[in-house]
Amino acid sequence: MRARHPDQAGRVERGGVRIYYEVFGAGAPTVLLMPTFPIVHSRMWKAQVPYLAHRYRVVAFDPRGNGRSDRPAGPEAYGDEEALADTLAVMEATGTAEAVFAALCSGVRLSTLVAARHPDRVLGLIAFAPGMPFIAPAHPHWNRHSFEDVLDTDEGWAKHNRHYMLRDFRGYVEWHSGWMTPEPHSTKLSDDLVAWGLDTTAETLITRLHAPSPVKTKEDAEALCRQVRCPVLVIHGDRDECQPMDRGNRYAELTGGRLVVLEGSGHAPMGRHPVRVNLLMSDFITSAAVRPRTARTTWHRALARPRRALFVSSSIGLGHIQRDLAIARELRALVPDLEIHWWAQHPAAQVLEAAGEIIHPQSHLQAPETAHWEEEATEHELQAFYAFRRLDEIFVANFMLFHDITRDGTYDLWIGDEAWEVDYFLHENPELKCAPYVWLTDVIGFLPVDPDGDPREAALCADYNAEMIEQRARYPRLRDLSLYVGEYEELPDASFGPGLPGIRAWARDWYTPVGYVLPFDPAQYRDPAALRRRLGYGTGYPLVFAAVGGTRIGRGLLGRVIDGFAQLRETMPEAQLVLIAGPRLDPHDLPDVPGMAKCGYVHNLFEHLACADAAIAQGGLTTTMELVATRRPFAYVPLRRHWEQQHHVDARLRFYGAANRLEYESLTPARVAETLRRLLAAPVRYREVPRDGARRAAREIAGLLGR
Amino acid sequence: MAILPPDRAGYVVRGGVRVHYTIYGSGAPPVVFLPPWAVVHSRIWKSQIPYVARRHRVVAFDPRGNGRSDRPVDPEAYAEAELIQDTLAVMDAAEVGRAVLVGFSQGGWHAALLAARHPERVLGAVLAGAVSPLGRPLPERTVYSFEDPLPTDEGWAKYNRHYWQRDYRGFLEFFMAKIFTEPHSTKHIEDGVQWGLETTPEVLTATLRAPGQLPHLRVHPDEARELYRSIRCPLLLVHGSQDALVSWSRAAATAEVTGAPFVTVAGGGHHVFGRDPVRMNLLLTAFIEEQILPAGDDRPRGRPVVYGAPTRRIL
Repeated sequence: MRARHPDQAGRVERGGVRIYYEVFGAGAPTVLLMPTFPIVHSRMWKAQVPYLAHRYRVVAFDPRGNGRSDRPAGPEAYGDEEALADTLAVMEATGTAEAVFAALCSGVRLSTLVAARHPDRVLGLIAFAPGMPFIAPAHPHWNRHSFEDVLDTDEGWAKHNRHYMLRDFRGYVEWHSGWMTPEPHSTKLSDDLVAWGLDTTAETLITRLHAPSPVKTKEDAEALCRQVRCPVLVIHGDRDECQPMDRGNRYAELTGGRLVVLEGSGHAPMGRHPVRVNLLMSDFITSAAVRPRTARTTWHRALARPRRALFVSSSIGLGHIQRDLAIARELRALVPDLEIHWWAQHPAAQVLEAAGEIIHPQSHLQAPETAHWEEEATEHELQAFYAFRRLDEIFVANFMLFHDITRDGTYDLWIGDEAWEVDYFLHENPELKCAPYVWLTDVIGFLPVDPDGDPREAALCADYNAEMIEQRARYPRLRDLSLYVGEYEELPDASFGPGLPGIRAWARDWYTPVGYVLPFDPAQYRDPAALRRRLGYGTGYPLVFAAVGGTRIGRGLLGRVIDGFAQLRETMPEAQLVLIAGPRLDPHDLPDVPGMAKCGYVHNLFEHLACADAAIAQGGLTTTMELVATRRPFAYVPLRRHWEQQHHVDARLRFYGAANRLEYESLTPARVAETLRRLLAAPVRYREVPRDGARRAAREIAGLLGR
Repeated sequence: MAILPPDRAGYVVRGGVRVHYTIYGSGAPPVVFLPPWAVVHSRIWKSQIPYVARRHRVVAFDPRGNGRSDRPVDPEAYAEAELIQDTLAVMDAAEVGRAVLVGFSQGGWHAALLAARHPERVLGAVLAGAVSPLGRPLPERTVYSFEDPLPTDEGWAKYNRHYWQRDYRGFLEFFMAKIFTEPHSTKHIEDGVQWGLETTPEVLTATLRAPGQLPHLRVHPDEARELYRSIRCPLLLVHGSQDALVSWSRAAATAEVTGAPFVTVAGGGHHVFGRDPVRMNLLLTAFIEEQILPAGDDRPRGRPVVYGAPTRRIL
């Protein structure tokens, strides 16, 4: 899902052709994100929009020929003059008198035309890989083969040929996205580029390639560039296969602009190096177009600063927040003057608020992750790896916010509990690290889940693991601490992928284990009868619980447990069921059966689960491990295609001797009833869960603060 | 010793008084560091000059009364107008038409005056711990007379010409400790005392008797506000929250009337450029990059910036 939705969207119509635009945010100035060759559309700016829209007003529009704009016929309709008129029409429709323009490739040629002819409309121009013809020679591979003639090969640059495009458009688009992203580990951006390319047709692109431009000679091009009066920032990758670096250089010279070279970057740096690009863009926009205004800032002398930590708690469901609070409590005991600020989203933020913790005031600006996961889920199924991969846009948007609140060195320490966006983008931009940084996780490595062994999924998981392994090896001290929540033996006995190390062996080199972290002392919950009296459940009857974590994904499982429980009551009429729907499912939407009580969010859920004579839970880590710790009989139902529940949690529960795994596919009411009957009859023989995990973690972390 | 020798040094002579200046580096826009009160001299900028001179032509000079400048004892020689003219004469000698001025304490007041009265010479100004007629004085500084003999030598009673005759070093130690209220400032205080010992109580007494506009403007704040409002170039105000010489309220009032960006150094004393040089250096260069360069006629070109060198490197 998108990290930020437009505040306004619409179409302008010119000569029967409709151009789709979107407007985000309300700051100043306006940043106009320009279209380019219509093999892509305005989504190419997805990593920029959320960040820029926090500070400025952002307008983006789709080119003729792709996205939600029309696809007129005939090359004339795609000429620079039409595109120029479209640009002005979009500015008109959105009430944009002037803007900082950002453009890629041929979009730079178009933007240069606007800047030259309408200097009052262009405050500044950010030119990615300027596609200004003639000012420097093109890459020779573009002229190696004829575009119009039938060729005897489809190999390499011969694919840039009208006959091949018409014959195998997907092949053309895949080839195109391949050379646009020469950086290793670019699979997600490459997939995006293919998808955007397939939003148009070969015919449209061929027509566009024949469109007229007023820039016909070297003299035209140079004269046009020299007319640019606004500040210009050129950003060019030195592995750009579309536009040679010489063009970037020359364009900067001719326009009086500043050139930033991105070493190792291809033709789509806004997608592949979004953090650096966003910072470059916002620095430029501010210096080019933001009028100095009264601003009062305070810089605290280093020794006059309060001791502060920022705790970034990943908020997918509620699993991590209780353990993070437990670690925070132990940490404060060791470092009493430590002030902890939290960077967390709903629903975790609710728990923090209830606990009286300080939530960073900008925390709520984060693009919502939980909603993304729910959107990705179907009935008791979540392809968690693909869903994670599609978080790319949300991750960069949220990392930019993190960077903005940490860049001034306000914090003595950053703690990231599975703060994937922080960890990934710090490794991609290691110069942005300005505090000791602790990474904490209970899951190491993506593992494929497709029952038929889909090779694409396996290759993608391995590539993500390989990138992480390379990042760690290249910047080993980026994390000051890598804490694994558990012991090495609790990790899956598996490899990161073909040619990659084993997960356990690698973890031994790169992680410090702290043992499983419980948010409570299980010794306090070993007397279910007393606990049941205290919590008002009473005793003398079989008490069954069903819990599905903090998201809406568990709706299906709850339904099946209700049906199974109804069957159980036929032979065990005294049995009672407590159904925990969690904070994001409305209990009223669930059916009622005799002997059943329903609740939504339950504070300190583990206390209630500790009353259970039997329980059925979704295969999430937190709830299942709380049941292990309080030694309650339970069965778990891993979400289908959820790599963490299928592999990591499963391996850990087996390690603890709690291996009552059920498959959702075969979870009939009879199966539920039979399982509950079995659980109610059998004693548990689990391994003890350590009680000092939070303290061990806190001790390691406090070491970084000199305690 | 100074780690960066000047590229050029010399004197300007006005009314028989020599004022010593130094020039470092090249690059636009030029930056001129103004001297504050003659109790110290241009070495107060020692933490700025080597860094700023890597990007800009830097001009610094000693005030009349200290450093390598002459030490007249006639109060008229230290008139505010003379000090302003010294600055312009040094800029002329350094062939600097327009410059970014950086002024600290009394130099901050002079920078504001130059920006208001000589806009053709000033691209922008940074006022740090700046003296200003606006805002309130520190109450402890209004208790004792400078000219009259006092029954005590305690605290601000040391700011008294009779005490200076008796124990000039004692005054300098007290005064420098008031400049650097931050803990662990021993080196800064020692430096200040040394610089102070390079001049004499007679010179400092003359500077305090010199004519200027401040006494008048303090009782006519409307005129002071008008003066600040007439400034057209970018300004940056910086002031320590623990400044024990010039109250923070003076900077706050100046920010209010000028609308200039205002950075408070929490826990900072009077000479934040000396005590927190790294942050101040970055603030100064950012001010030039963001507020001065974009407005200039010649946009920065220079070498391209390169990100992402993929090799491992050790410094």
